[in-house]
Amino acid sequence: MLTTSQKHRDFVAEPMAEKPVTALAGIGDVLGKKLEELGFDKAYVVLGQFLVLKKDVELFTEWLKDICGANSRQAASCTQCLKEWCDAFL
Amino acid sequence: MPSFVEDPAQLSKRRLRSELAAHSVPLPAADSGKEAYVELYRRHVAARSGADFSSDEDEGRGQAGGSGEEASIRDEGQKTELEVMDVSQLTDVELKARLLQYGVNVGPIVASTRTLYEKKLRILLKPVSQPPLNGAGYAAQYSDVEDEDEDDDDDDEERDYGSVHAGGHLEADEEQDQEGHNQDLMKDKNATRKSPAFSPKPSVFRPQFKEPVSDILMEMFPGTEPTPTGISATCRRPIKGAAGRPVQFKYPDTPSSPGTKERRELQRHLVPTWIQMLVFLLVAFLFYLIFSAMQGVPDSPSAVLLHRSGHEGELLGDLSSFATSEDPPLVSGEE
Repeated sequence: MLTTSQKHRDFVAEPMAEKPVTALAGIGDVLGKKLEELGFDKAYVVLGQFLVLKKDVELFTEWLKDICGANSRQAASCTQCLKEWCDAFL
Repeated sequence: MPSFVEDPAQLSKRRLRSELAAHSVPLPAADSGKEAYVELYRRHVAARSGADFSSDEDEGRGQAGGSGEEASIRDEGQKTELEVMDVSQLTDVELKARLLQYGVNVGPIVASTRTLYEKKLRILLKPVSQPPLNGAGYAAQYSDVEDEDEDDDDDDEERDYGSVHAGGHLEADEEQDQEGHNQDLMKDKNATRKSPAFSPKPSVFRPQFKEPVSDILMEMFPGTEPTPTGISATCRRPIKGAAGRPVQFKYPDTPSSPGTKERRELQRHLVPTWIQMLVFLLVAFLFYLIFSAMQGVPDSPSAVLLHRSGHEGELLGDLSSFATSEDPPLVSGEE
C-alpha cells in the first residue's frame, strides 16, 4: 500500500469501540455482508482473528481471501489497517 | 510389485478407525472385528478416494497384472493423497509441532485458524519435492534421450518404491528426497508416454501432479507466466521460514512498514504545490520591488510607462524647455 485511504486513516485514528466490520479499510458492503453472515459482524471480531493469528500479516491476508473472497488489495489494506490500529492502541 | 500403500487390510485397526472418523463414517460397534472396519473403509473411504482420483482404485484391481510402472504411478498418486490426508489428520499439537519444525511462528490452533495452518504446512511440505518438477521435469520433457534409458528408470523406480514402502509410509520427512526424485521420473513418464496403451493414465494423473505446482507458483508470482525452463520458479524467496530459515517478518522491500509510510506521508504533506507557487510569486514580487527601488522614482519603469502613455508630448516639451533653460548657466560656468 503506497497511500492510505481516508477510511484507513479514520479507522486508525481512534479506538474501534463498536464499529461495524465495514469500517475496516478494504471491507466494503459486499465483503462486509459476507463477513457478517459468517459471524464477523463487528470490527473487533475480525481483530480477534488477526490477534489469534499472532498478527501474522501473511496468514491473516490469506484468511481474509479464503473466508470472504477478498482480493489481494482488499485483504492487504484491511490487514494493514488492523496492524496499524494494533500498533497504536494495543 | 510394490504393495498398496493404503490396502485397508494392511492398516492397523486403530488407523482404520481414525481414517473412518476423518471421513465422518459412523464407526461400527467397539467389539466388532477388524473385518468390519476394513469393509467400511473399502466402502466409504476407498470409494471416495477413487472418485477423487478418477477411480484409479478400480482400475488397479482390474489390471492386477499390469506392468510395474503403472503400479508405481498409482502408488505415487496414493502417496500424495496420503500426505495431504495426513496433514488434515494431525492433531492440533502435532500440527503445531510440524509447523515449528519449519520455523513458523504458530499461534493457537483453533477452529478458525486450523485450516490456515494446515494449508501452510501443506505448502511448506511441497517445495521439497518441487524443484525437480520445475527444472529437470520440464527440461526432460523436451529432450529426446529420454526414450532410450526409460526402461532402466522403470526398474530403478520399482526398487525405490519397494524400499520406500518397506520403510513405512508415515515417515514423510525422511522420504522427501527420494520421493522428489521419483515424482520427477513419474512426471517425465507422464509427459513423454503418449502411446495408446497409456493414454488414459496421463489424463488421470496429470492434474494431480501439475496442480500443486501451478497453484503455488501462481500464488507466489501472480504476474509471471509458467516457463518451460522453470527459471522463474527457482526463486524461493517468498517462502518465508521454509527449510529451517528464520522467519523474517519484515522484508526490506515491503512498502507497508509504518516507518516508510510515515516518511512518505510527511513528504507529501510537507510542501504542497500551491504553497510552492505562492512562495515563488512572493519572492518574484520582492525582487521586483527591490529592483524598482534601486532605479529611483522618476526612472522607475512604471513611471516611464505612465508618462509615455498619457503625457508623452508634454513630457518631451518639459524636457526640452528644461534642457534649454539649464544650458546657458552651464556654458557660462565653463567659460
